[in-house]
Amino acid sequence: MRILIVDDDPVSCRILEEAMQAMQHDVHVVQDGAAAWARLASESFDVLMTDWEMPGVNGLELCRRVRARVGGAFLYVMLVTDRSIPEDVVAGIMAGANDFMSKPCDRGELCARMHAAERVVTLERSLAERVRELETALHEVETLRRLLPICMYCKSIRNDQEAWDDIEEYLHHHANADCTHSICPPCYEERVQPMLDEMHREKKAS
Amino acid sequence: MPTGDPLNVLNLEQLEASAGSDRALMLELVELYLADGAAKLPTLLEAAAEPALDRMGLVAHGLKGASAAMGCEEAAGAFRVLEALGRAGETAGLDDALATAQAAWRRASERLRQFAA
Repeated sequence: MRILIVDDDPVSCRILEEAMQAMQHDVHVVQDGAAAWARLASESFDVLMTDWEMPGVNGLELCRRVRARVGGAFLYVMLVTDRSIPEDVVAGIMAGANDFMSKPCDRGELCARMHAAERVVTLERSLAERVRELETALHEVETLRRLLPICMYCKSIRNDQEAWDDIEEYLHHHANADCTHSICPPCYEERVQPMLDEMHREKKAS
Repeated sequence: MPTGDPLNVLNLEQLEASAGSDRALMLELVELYLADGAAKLPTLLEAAAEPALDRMGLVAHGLKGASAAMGCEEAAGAFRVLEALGRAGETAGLDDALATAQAAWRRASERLRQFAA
């Protein structure tokens, strides 16, 4: 995974960096929240490990900013801080952190938590991919729904069972609409009036 | 329970836990901690003298975290007191707390140098 570590304490940074590198992750380190926010705006990361107390943009504010972002890939956020009382854990998670770990960190626990993070990131990626596939499929369905398969000669319409329906029957079943069978003026002129004229002629002749 | 380190100057188990028992990393962390502390301590004292207690608290916070990660529990405790005074904007007891923190830092540094030797 691609991990961004944010901590203004170089000792804590190095401990986290080394542990993550030992797990074969691609690790990047910055010293403060503003620098982290700039990196997050221009690059993609899977995990953000951030300290809470930092000058300028602190870890809590960073969490809030990350969660307020519109769009973008999922980012797993772990607050790594020397705060440990339940109120701090609640505040951290409510600000958007996925996990909360108290310093000083035990390396074994840190690695175990990162395995859990990896499972969540993998699941989120898979979910995002599935959503993309569904959106593509939905778009295709919408496109197909707008195309009515109609015979260019008799105007019959192919239904869902691959049979051909009369257009009136099709409208009745699919649009819940029935036809009034009116006659438009051009058709009246072209078809009805000649028939009436013919009837008059036949009547006169007889 | 009697121990050879009643002040908890250096808890090696914590250092090993932080570094995953990687001796090379432990030595690197010792070097980093000593250099960072030597750079930050004058800043801390300057901030306390001004007094710029917010800044002092923030520097003390960093030193406390690093000390705790290194297993320097006495120093971590002393910097925790300074951090709390800084956050509270409290100057009462500041001189004593500064003296305690400096002494704890000296002891921690000495023990870490012995460990690294």
